Amino acid sequence: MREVTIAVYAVSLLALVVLEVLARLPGSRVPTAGECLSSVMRHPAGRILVILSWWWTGWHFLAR
Amino acid sequence: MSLRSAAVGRPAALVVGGLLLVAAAVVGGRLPSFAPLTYVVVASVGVLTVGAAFRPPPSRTAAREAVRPLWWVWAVPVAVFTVWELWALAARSPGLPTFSDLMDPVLVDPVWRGLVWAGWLLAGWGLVRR
Repeated sequence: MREVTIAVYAVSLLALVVLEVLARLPGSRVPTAGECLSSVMRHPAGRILVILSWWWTGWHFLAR
Repeated sequence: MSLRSAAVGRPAALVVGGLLLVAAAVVGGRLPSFAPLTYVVVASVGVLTVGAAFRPPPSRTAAREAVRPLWWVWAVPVAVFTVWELWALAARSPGLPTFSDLMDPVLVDPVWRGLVWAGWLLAGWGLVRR
């Protein structure tokens, strides 16, 4: 089960990289991660949610 | 202005920013977990970033564009990762490690820890500019 769990994490993260590459192909209908984040961050609630998520990630992995 | 055009337009700023990032990675790589100084540094970076994120820069006045239609495909890997992580968190079994459990031994190494610090700071800078 441990191997399956590691594979799920790895495939999920790899999928994010693949999506970013696909998004940068000419004529792609997939937005880049940056475009998605920009869209979410246009709203103040989305902006604070994204920033706090980023901060929590740093706290979780680097401080605790 | 994109990150790339900003870098091309201001090479000196790119060099200074790069050096600062390397310095932050070197220092951050030596800040241990569960240390008061680390708590203060990470909390301070967070407070400064939240403050900077809500200062409207001129670039944010650009026309709003509709996001491309297949935006939802991003939600699939994010949802899979999140659900599995929550399941692992609830199970608390060695056979079902959380992502944090897997990263903890990696982040003991100052080099990897410094790289994560650099990535985290770079991501925060990118978010503040949006």
